[in-house]
Amino acid sequence: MNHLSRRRPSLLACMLLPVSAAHAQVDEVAETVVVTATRTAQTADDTLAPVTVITREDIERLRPISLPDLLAGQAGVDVSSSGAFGQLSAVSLRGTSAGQTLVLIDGIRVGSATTGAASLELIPPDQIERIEIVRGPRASLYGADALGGVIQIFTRPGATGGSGWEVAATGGSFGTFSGRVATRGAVGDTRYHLTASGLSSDGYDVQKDGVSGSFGPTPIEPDDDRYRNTALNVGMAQRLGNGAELGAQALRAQGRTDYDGFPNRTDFVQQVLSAHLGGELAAGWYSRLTVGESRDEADSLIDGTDFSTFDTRRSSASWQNDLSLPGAQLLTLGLDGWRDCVDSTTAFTKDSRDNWAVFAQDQFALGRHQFILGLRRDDDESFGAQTTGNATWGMALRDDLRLTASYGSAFKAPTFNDLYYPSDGFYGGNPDLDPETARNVELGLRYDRATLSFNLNVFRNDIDDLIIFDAAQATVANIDRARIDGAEGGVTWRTEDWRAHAALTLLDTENRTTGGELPRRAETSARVEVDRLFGAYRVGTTLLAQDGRFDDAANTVPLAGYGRVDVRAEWLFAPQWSVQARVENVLDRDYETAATYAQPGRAGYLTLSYRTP
Amino acid sequence: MTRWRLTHRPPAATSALAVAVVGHLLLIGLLMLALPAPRPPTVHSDRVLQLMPLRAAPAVPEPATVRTPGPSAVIDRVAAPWAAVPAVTDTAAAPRAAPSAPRPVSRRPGGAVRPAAVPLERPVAVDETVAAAALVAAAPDPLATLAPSGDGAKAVAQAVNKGPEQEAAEGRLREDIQRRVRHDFARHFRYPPLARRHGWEGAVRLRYDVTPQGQVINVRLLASSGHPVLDRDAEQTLSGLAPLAAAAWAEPVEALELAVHYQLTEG
Repeated sequence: MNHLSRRRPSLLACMLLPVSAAHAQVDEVAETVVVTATRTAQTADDTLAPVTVITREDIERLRPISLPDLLAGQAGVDVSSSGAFGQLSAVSLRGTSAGQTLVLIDGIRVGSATTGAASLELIPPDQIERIEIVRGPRASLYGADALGGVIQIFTRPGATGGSGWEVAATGGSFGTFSGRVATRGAVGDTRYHLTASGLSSDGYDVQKDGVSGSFGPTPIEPDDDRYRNTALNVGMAQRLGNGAELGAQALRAQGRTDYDGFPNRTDFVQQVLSAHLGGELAAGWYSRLTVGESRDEADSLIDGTDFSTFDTRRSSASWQNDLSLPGAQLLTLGLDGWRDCVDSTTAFTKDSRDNWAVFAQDQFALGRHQFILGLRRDDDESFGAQTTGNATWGMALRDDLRLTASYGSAFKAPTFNDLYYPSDGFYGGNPDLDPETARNVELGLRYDRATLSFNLNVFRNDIDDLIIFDAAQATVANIDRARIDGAEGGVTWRTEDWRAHAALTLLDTENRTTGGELPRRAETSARVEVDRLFGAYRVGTTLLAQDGRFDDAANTVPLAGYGRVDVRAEWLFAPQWSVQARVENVLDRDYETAATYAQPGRAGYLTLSYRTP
Repeated sequence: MTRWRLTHRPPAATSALAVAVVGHLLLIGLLMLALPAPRPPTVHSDRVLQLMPLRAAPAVPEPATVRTPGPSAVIDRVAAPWAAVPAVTDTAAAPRAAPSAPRPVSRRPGGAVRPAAVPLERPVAVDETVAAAALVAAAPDPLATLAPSGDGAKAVAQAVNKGPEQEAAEGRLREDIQRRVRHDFARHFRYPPLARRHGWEGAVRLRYDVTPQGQVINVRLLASSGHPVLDRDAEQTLSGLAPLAAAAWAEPVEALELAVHYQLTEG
């Protein structure tokens, strides 16, 4: 079977149908009614919310070295990084900061409680099955930090994934080698999966030597900056009958990243454990209990000597109830709680905090109008109670065209660094901080057909009480206000042989206290992917472009705009076997997304992969 | 860790860890059990749009003579706790192992249950009748010995006494009704929002009767999708269909089947 094309005769029948709504067909041959609907994002209902979904198929087509590489330029996504291969990266949605974007892995909140951001650069794409990027505030469902949006990463295969093995090996520039072995299957009512992956790269010298940076001249360390990442992901789910399911899984990625300066190496661990029990308590009442724990551990070293440790452990539990009510109404009620614990060589004045929340969301339809109303109350040990809400209205103009309007509020919790960092005379935490709060309004239009879909969203997000360093007080305070106006659009065209996708993001950010632009947000970002299938061959290209922006909040250090072109070719040389060659940054452009840190130049990779039929 | 002991709140981390560890030990055990066994290769993808040849049980043209019941003639009544109406289900293993195994004769022209225009409480007698038919069928001459008294026997007798033309006509009628019901069902489709949210898919098989007025009644579950939400949606949609237009048969038509496949596609 040609797994490149995944073509099916029935696809032709679906081509002419809108995919936005459910539809049903009669298959006379099989004497079966086939009721079909587009898979909605699990993170938010994507008939109304703007969502980008990246599937395992996309990942295997693009085979990105890092997750930030895969996300860069997608609608609403801004990525800035201190280089490739495990270097610090900031991924944010809709012009917000990395800490204002919530990251979930298999439903569990991840990230460092001290910095407030998730280390997406350390999550291997080899471990990812699916990514949902939900743009716009979702605090009324997920609470703190879902201000610019939510990025949810799924590492477990879908329930209908069948069984088999996949093996892939990659080698290429910068002494880079990576491998992946994955298996999944079912024994009776038990499904399991196991994925092991590893990546090793000699890297390159990420920071330019001896040029002027924000903190004086950059260090002179001309050595290559290495990266190692080994990861394992195992999980199982047991059907209990009556649709109930019990499951558990674990993901652990660990390794080291070298860089320049003081310190110059970090040994890391990223770990997510979760277990869930879900089932129907009564007809139409689905209840799901999830417990989990995420760890973000970083030991920094200077030339091999221990320098610092910042470990975050976040334990969480949530109980979510979905009630199907008459009129296609779906009411969600839930309780959510988590505890952040920090273990560090730095003596934080407080090293743990609890957050409890109750939330409700109602989704219902009246004729061609669809509504989602959400309300959530968080009670956090460090900053008190926060109430957030969301109201979304969608109207089907035609069965393939939908207009949406929504309003939502959100907040970002101050981090442990903001609140509890011990004062050293130059900087100390401020335990009286309030969260940063935001209100977002937006309008959207979405057209959906099997071959062609597009979406356009315009939004305004007002953020108050931005936490800013106040040099006079040697601490941080809720000082600034910001406004982000933006528009984002995406077009996807798919036929049996072609796949083309383009995303464009326009941003106008303003710090309304200083009048400056927010740092490292490009006014224009674009990503274009085109792939063509020729029988057993597939060729494709990706174009990534961003215009100029400032590296710093004072708007004194400009970063030039850039364009990057990647090309790839794949050959299915035997059933189940394929070989892919790709060249990144074909034009060998020098560019930076963080000042003084070079992005890699032209680089080539070769991947050999096998999958059981 | 002392902090956990001091708190009154559930030590989520500890329990999560415990569940995860136990889960994975279990997984490893299962893997060791499962891996040596050769497994039939299957398509390794969770995103393939596929029309599964979900062949519903050939509930139609009834044979001119009563068949000898195979193992699948044993009918269990599975009382599904979620369903308001208890479901009738064939025993799981037998029909799957041998899809062409003879199925029980459950069409009873002069059946015990006289369907009304509104759904009945429960077609309890269906199973008994089928069992009776099975008993009769087991005998060399259905009418000679062991013929049970009552409607079931009458049904069998009638079925046996039918001529081939009559049988063919009835087969066509049943085909026609099932086809019309499929199309009516497809017009009243919806994907249950809860199932869509959770990504649930599956195939449901239902059995139903139709009154002379064209009303679908006595909808019961023949094979579950594994997700009660989908099973219920299919049952309710089928039960809620408007009467078939221009019903042109004098007797109720019974034990018809409908297969519904719920599937999600990547948008």
